[in-house]
This record gives sequence, C-alpha cells and structure tokens, in this order.
Amino acid sequence: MGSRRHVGRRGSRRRILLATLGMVAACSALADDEDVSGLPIVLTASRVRQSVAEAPAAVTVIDREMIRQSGVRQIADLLRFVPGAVVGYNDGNWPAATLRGMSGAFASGLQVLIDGVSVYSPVFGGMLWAELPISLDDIDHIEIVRGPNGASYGANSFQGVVNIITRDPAADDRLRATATVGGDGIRDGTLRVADNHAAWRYRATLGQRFDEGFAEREDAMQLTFGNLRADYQVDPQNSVSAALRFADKRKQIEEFTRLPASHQTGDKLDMQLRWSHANSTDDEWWVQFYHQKFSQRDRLFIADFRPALDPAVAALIPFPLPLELEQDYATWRDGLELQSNRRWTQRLRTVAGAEVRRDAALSGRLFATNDEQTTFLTRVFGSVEWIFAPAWILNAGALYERNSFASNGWSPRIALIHELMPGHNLRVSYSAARRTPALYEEKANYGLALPLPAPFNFFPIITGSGRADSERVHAADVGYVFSLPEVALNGDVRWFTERYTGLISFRGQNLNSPPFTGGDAVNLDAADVDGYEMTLNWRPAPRTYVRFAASIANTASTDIGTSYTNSVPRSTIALLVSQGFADGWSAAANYQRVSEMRWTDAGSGRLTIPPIDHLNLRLGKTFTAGAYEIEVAGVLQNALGHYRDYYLGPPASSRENIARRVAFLQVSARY
Amino acid sequence: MKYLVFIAVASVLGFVSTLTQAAEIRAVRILAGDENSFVQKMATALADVLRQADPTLEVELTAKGNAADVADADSEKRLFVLIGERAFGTADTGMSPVVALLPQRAAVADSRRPLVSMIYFEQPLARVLNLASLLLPGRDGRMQTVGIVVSPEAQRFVTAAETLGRERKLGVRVESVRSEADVGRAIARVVEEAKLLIAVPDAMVHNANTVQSVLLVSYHAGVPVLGYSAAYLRAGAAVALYSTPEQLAQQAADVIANYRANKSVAATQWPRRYVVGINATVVHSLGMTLPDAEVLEKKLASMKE
Repeated sequence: MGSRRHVGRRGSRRRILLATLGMVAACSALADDEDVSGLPIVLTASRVRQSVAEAPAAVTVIDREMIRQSGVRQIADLLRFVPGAVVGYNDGNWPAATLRGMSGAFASGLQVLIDGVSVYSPVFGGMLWAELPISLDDIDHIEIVRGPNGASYGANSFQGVVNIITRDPAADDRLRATATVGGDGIRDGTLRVADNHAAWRYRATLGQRFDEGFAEREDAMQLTFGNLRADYQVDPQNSVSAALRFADKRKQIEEFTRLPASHQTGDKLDMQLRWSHANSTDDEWWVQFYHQKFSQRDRLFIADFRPALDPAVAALIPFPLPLELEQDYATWRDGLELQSNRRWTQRLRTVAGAEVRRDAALSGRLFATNDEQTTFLTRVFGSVEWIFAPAWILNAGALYERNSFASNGWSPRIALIHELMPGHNLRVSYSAARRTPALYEEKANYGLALPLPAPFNFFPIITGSGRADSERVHAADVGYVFSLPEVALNGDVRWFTERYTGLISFRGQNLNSPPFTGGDAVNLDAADVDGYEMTLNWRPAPRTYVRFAASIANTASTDIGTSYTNSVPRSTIALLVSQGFADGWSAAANYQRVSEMRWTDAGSGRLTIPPIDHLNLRLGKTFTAGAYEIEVAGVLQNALGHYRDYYLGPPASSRENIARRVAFLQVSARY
Repeated sequence: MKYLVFIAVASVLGFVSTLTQAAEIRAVRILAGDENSFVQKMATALADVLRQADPTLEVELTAKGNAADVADADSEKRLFVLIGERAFGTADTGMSPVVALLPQRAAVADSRRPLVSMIYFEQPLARVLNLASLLLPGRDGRMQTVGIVVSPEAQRFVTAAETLGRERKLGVRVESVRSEADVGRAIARVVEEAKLLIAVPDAMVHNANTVQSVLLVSYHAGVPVLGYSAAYLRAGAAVALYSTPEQLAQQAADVIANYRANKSVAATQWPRRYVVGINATVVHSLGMTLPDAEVLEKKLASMKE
C-alpha cells in the first residue's frame, strides 16, 4: 500500500508542477506593461457577474437575502429554489439533490463547486451535501446554471452546475456568531471573524451542526467544520487567494434494516490556492491549484446477521452468523487550472482555460484491492462572446476532455441572444455534455463475505468491468429573460428539451445460482425530457419580496435498467414570500411542491412517492445593541405536517423516513 | 488705521506691478515634485502645449527636480507653474508670478507669492452631483439617494452636499469615519439606502487598501460607484468623472496666455474640461443601461454648476 502509492503520486505531481511553470511563463509573456497608478483592480472579470439576461444558458441566482429568509439549515435545501429541482432525504442527515430527477443518493449529474473548485466525491461522483465544510453564513451567493453546461465546466456538468461563492473577506462583518437550538436535538453554532490589515484580508469560520435526524431512524450526525480564506494584494495587478477547509463528521448509518446502526466517522481537508493577474476588469488571468482529501471509517460488528436475511434463508442457518462490515475508504484529488478572461474589442470577449486533475481512491472493501485506484483527466475549454450586430450576441464555446475511463470527447455549446427591446432578451441555445462514470461505476468490486462454506461465503454486489462509457446529453432551449423596473418585476421563462443516451445502470447481478456475479455498470437507457420553466422576482414594496419558480416536465424513457420516466417530477412549484416590518421585524414563508416521483435507488419496484408539499415559516427580529446587530429568528420547518421522504413506507421498505415538523430558534450577532 | 492704508497701497502696488509684469513673461519654469505619474504627465503636457503655442517662450521643465529653487535677477520675466502638493509647498519662487495646479486640500493662500491662479485637480461637487442625477433619473418624482463616505478632514469639502443635492432632486447621505478600519462598515451602511456611491478624493477612505472594501461591498449591494480618477474606473468604479493631465495642462496654458495678454484671470479655478469614463463590464453586470460617455459629457456640459 504505502510505497506503491507514493511513487505514483510523485510522478503525477511532477507533471502537474511542470505544467504550472509552463502556464505561468506563458501568461507573463502576455502581460501588459501599461502604467497603473496604485489602485488594485478590484472588480476583475471573475468577480463581476455576467448579467443573467446575456448568459448563454438559464441561470438561477440564490442571494443572501433568499438564504436568510429560507429557514434552511442544510445547504442542499437551498436548491429547492431552482425550478425542476428536487431535494430529498435518504436519511435525516443525508440529503440528495437533483436538478432534473433521474438520480439517486449519489446523484452524479450535478457539478458542484465552491469558489470555482469542484467538490463532488471522486468515488461516487455524487455530492456529500451534509458534509460541506462551510456554513450558510459563509455563502455570498449561489449561481446555478440549469441544463448541460459541459462547455465551461466539463464532465459532471450534466444536469447543471452549482457554484457556491463564498463571501469576500473585504466585504464581510468583523465578527459574527450564530447559535441554533431546537427540536430533533438541533444544536448548531458558528463563529466567524474577518479582518484586513494593509494588503491582507482574511476570514475564518468555525462551526458545528448536530441533530438527531428522523425520529424513527438512527441517523444522527455531528459535523464540526472550519474554513479559512486569506487574500493578499501583491501589487495593483496581482493578488493571491488561499482557502483551507476542514470537516469532521460523526454519523449513524443504518446499513441494513432490522440491524443496529453503524457509526461512520470521516474527515476532510481541502485547500485551494489562486494567483490572479488583472490589467483591468476586462483582462484577467488566474492560475489555481487545489488539493482535497477525505477519509471515512465505517465499521460495524454484527453478532448475528440472520435477521437481515430473507426469513426463508435465515431459517436454513441454525447457528449465529457473525459479520464485521467494514466500508472504509479514502479519496484524494489534486488539480491545476488556468483561466484567462479577455476583452478584445467592444464587441468581442473570450474565456479560455485548461485543467489537469488527478483523482484517487483507496478502499479495500469497495475495490477488493489495497491498490490505489486513480483516474486522470485533462481538459481544455474556450468560449467566445461576440456582439456581431447591435442587440445580437453570439456565444459559442467548447470543451475537450481526455480522461482515464471514457472516450475523449467534445462538449460544445452555442447560444444566440437577441435584445428585443431594453430589458427583454430572447435566447436560443444548444449544448451537449457528458457524464464520465465515477470510480464506483467503473472499478467497484465488492460484496458481502459471510462465514459460510463456499460458494456461499461471498455474495458479490458489484463487479465492475470498466466497460461503461460516458453518459451523454444533447439539449436545446429557448428562453426569454425580462426586466420591468417600473413594476419591480423581473424573471425568465424557458422551454427546454434534453436527450439523454447511454444512461448507466447496474445489471447482471446473479445471486440465485452459483457462480454468483455482481452487477456491472452498463450504458443502457435513453431518456427524453422536455418542458417549461419559469422564475419571477417581484418587489411590489420596498420591504416585500415575492419569488415564484415553477416547472413542468414530460419524460419518455426506455426504462430498461432503471425507471427514469417516473423519476422526473411532472411539476414543481417554489414560492418564497418575505415581508419586512417596522422595528426590524421580518416574516417569510418558503414553500415547495414536487409532484410524485421516485428516487432511482429507492427500491420498491418502480413505485413513486406521492407529491410532497414542503413549507418553512420564519419570523425574525433584528435590533442593535451598541455596535452589535442582533437577529433572533424562529423557524418552523415542514409546517404543513409530516410526509414520507425518499422511500415508500412498509411493506416496500421498513425504513421509516418520515420528515416531521421541527422548530428551532436562531440567534446571531454581527459586529 | 495707517497700517491698513499701508497694506491697501502695497496690495494695489503689488497688483499693478503684477500687471506690468504680465506682458513681459519671457520664460516659464514648470516645477513638478517627484510625486506620481499623474503630476509628471501634466508637466510634460504643459511644456508641449506652451512650446507649440509660442516657440519664442522659454519653457523649462524640472520634472523631477528639487523644488527648492533660487530666484534670480530675471524673476519678473519668469512665471512659475507649480504642479502638485509637494512643489506648491516647498518651491521658493521669489517674487515671480505663480500658477498652481494642485489638490483642493493643499490649496492654502500664500500671501508671499503673487498667485496668478490656483487650478484644482478635483471636480466641483456640483458637477459630480449633476452627473449623479444623470445616472439616476428619478422615478415618479421619487428622490434617489446618493451616498458619500468621508474622513474628518475631507468633511469640509462636502458640507454643501445636502443643499446641492436637493437642488438636483437627490438625497445625499454623508457618513463620516474616523479610521481606515471603519470604511467597510460605513460603506455597508450607506449602500443600504443609497443607489449610487460617490467617491470623493480622500486619502483615508479611498486608498489602495480600502478600495477593495469600497468596491466589493457596494458591488455586492448592487450599488454603482462614481469614481474620481481613471485609476478608480479601472479598479471597478462603474463611472468616473475626472480631468486628464492633458486637459488640466491645457487649462494652465490658457491661464498663462490670458495673463500674458493682460486679461483677467480667476484666482481659483475648477477644471474646465473633463472626461466621463464608463466601465462597461461593471455597468452591464449591475444591470444598468447608460448612454455613451460622450452623450453624458454633452449633457453634463449644458447643466448649471
């Protein structure tokens, strides 16, 4: 294990280092030596948000005010604001989120970034939402690009991209402390400090989140996390930004029903370092290095495994069946990225970049070997924004990617945007993207070892052959983005169509007669989804905010390996209403309705869970005490009562996943 | 009483002698302290303009020279142009007439020097507020608010701000800070109410360190910044109103020409020519639609200051 692993890592590290030096040298040659008099370029291209009206794809922005009024504790719950999105809880502390449906707890069609760096799991390709090492307070805003966006973010930007952008230390409160206490054992706390000295700016956050999860399940989780971000202005044109994040989790996991829960512990450490050079808002390049590591320990000793077996089978075994289940794994990710934003003329802007990344996983249990499993990817991308006629923009981009698992390929995107009149834009776009299979889908080799004579000593669950290729999607959309400042209303409406092919399912598991074989990932299904989405933002009065989002989708799928057709909700509605009153009072209601759907790994044949109405209510009061601003808020989650989440109830599954009303009180102080 | 008469007569004589000197200026000596490129550019531009206008005029440019200079016998025929705070404060120009270009805060009347005119670097607040009113057209007669953050010394330059604002249908909110560390929070408070943040030259509030907070806090609140220099525009101000070194140099040259032709010259002057700069990317990103810079400049020129 030890030496082989280190040699491999040193080799790739050297490659990455040489690549960095090369890229930095190339960029210095491009540097402009225009005289700049002292003030740093603050609003660089990467900090300036593209106007939603001119974006080549449908974008949803979740800002701080929405986050504050949402009444959520978990970041994943913020995705309920996105039309078409579904957020479900696999257990009380295991949220799963998807922008389109067609997903399970390891939804791997969503690219999730923190400050531009991908944070999805290298092993499962999914997103461990409950383990993000940032607090809700650390977030400045979240930008969600809906629809395939391979051209900018590569593989895994299959259903869309969620980019979580943290607050800039230069724009932060000096001190902020928050404490949350409530039902279901809710005990959260965060402490954040931010400061600046001369050319340094930094922010440090420490926090914890704990609750007992669903009442009928053993799914309590404690997360302790911290993050540090420091920015340094080297000179007017160059700045360095570094971020360090860690999280430590302790969680109960019910692997098998009718057996005790196992205790999972994990820790993660992420770091990213970026050097930026800006000549002006329109001319910037940056180089970024990141390193992430995660390890999880999940051990369960079961004195007698028989209760978990089918009763008929259990009856055949006259002696107790002890079993030690161990599902430890560790992952590492190292990457280097370079991006350049440049405006060439008043009508022409380009973005270009390259990335090199290495993902590795080590898990004797999952891969049946103590060798490190690695995957290496290289990608190059570019896009052009060209105003070729007054009120007409052409935005074209493409990404080319090579990776260890799947065939190399292009992900193109093209969009045409026309300003019908000021404040009203029409967009027509086409894009394609790929989802590279995760390590788990390509190379997993695991099963259940029982102390029984062969061939019953090992029941394979997954036997990966490495033959699965990328899933593909082609999508087109027509969108209309409008802004009516006279009535303080803005929004967008969109028609979309998405054609998925090569969707992966696990097939071929045979436990009926020896030789037993595990399932293998194969590209099996196709699915077509089309529909409409709409978002409206309205501020009829200075302290009143209404936000409405809705979607309608029709799905048709071959449904051979997995039932995709009913995994996409026919409709979703999200409504946020918030009102500020005199004396610092504010009230908000955050409602979402998702029509019937199923999560693809929820078992129970192909049955769907009924429509879910989800409502959070929040009442808050802010007041000042000296130099401190204090806010006290009471939140009631699931105000409409309980519902079954993720799974159907017994007899399909004895998992009682029942989300109930829970209330909590949150106090925060700012200085 | 006698004392007063003496001073009055001396002033008149001084004035008259200045007048007689006027026609005889044969040499112009430009002194720019070793401050920054803005000052240097102004000096070079002025030298070029003067030489082009009158090749017989002896123009000497001491761009980075020691500002302490001894006047000699030809002092009446020589005119000094002092550019920048340092040159103005330290140069010994004897009895020669002086034209000064400098920031407002350094403009202290010096009775020892025969000052022809002082030209400020900054724009008059009335003009800045005029531009602000063009950027924020009032809606249904609702007054829009602009915000200004100042340090105690710069506060005296914005005392008339509220009155000037009212004349232009703008509410002006002025917030004062006592140290650099308070700037970020002051900006955050101001942008809760203001739809535009006006940056007024002030070393404590707007410097290489604080400008990050100023621009980022206001940007995140969706509030554009109206800056006072090309550097501020480049840093991320949505719009800037400033005079280029060449424009100020031209104004100084005009003053010198008028003086030599015995025409009257105002003792203190604001810049006559200026540029409106727009950072298109930032403006766009804030969802603002603005007319072209030239259109704004024309409108601004027609407005009363």
